[in-house]
Amino acid sequence: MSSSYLLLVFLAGTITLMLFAFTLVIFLIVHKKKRYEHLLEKQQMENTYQTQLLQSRLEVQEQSFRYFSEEIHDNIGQLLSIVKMQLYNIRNSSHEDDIVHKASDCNELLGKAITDLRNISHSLNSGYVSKAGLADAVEKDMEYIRSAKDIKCTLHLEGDERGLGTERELMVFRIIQEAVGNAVKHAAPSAIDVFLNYKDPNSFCVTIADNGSGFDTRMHATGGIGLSNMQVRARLLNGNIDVISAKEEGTKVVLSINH
Amino acid sequence: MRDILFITYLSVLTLGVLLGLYRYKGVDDKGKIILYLLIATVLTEGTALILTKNQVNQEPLYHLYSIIEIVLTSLYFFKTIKTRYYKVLIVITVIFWIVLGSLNAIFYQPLSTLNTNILLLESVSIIPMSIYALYVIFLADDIQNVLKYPLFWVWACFLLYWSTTFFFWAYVRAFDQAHLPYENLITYSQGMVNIINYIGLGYTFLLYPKPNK
Repeated sequence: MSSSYLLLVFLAGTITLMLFAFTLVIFLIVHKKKRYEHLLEKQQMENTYQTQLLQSRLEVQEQSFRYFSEEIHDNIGQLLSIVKMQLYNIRNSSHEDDIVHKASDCNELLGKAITDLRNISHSLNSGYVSKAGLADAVEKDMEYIRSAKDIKCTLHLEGDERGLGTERELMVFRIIQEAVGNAVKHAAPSAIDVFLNYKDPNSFCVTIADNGSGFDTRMHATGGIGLSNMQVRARLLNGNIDVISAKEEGTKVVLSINH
Repeated sequence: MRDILFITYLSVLTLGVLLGLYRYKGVDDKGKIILYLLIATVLTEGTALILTKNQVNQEPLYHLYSIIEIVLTSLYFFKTIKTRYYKVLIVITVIFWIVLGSLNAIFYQPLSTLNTNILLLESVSIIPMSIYALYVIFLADDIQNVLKYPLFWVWACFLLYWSTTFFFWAYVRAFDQAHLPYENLITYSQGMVNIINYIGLGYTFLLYPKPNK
């Protein structure tokens, strides 16, 4: 074999192996860089999700505090004022029958105040939702509205109840609370129905329907702050909220969550 | 020209060793193996220079160096792939290469000649080692930015170095070393590859944390 032929083999072989090595190294760098960027993006999304979750939780908390402060003031506060007035009357009353009657009223009013306070406490306590489950927690909330607002509230359970995870259940519970609260506050309904639908194993659906004044959805196309908050929370749950309403025809809030 | 190339090569090597020593405290076990490899290379090349000046054959030194080099590289490889049988594999590797080196020196290439057989076998061993190590790095989820990862640079340097020099040893083996055709071209290209490789290995020490002042 001539030396020039061997040199050619040497050069060709060296260049081939070198190119192979370079390609391998460059491929690794590019691939890892892509994976690194993808991971960063994922982390960023995760951070955004966590921030939104936290923000949503704070908003819900703030709204709940406001709602229950109003409830304590308007409802329990009123009951206790009446009890105070009755006790004052008892002090000034000379008829035994009248005293017994007023004392019985006081007893009844105090019992109602205690029940309402207990229900409010349960509604405020997020641990109660995880302990009792979503359906029981909603039922408790309905019970309070029934007794405090004199609105016929009914919970309908469709399919077998299953756990959605503590975090998700709490979020769903707060959405229901907000929708029911909105109905009570703005629609003056005589009945509110809450449907928890567990029939489809791949999704979960909640419907909050009232027979109140309703509103024209075209006029409120963008929704109020409360509705947009609910939308954000629904998105965090990988779900969606639809509001179906018309003037004098009540409102239906439908929350659908995909597993 | 040859002297300039050799001086540059020795300077790069020395700089690499100095960098390794400067960052010694921050360097992990794997990095220390590379430092020992660079120290062994500097000592070999320095001694070879002195021997050449005194007209003594330097080839026996390279016979010994080849074995040290492949053993240290294997050690680095076993550390990279985190094998369970680390100590056993190291003992086997050391014995294997000492036996192979001795057999080559006794039967094929005496200590007075360049041990191209061992160097070719080294290439054949280190190239797959590098590819496998890079594959391990490729799969590792905890390694995100490879450019800041010393292990990646070391294996990339090894792969490029041994892939590039493989045909060099084959070429040298095909001829009588004293009458090597196109000797200058071969020597210069080999010198350049050496310089690039040791710049890369020295650079890896910069990726380790600075010593606390």
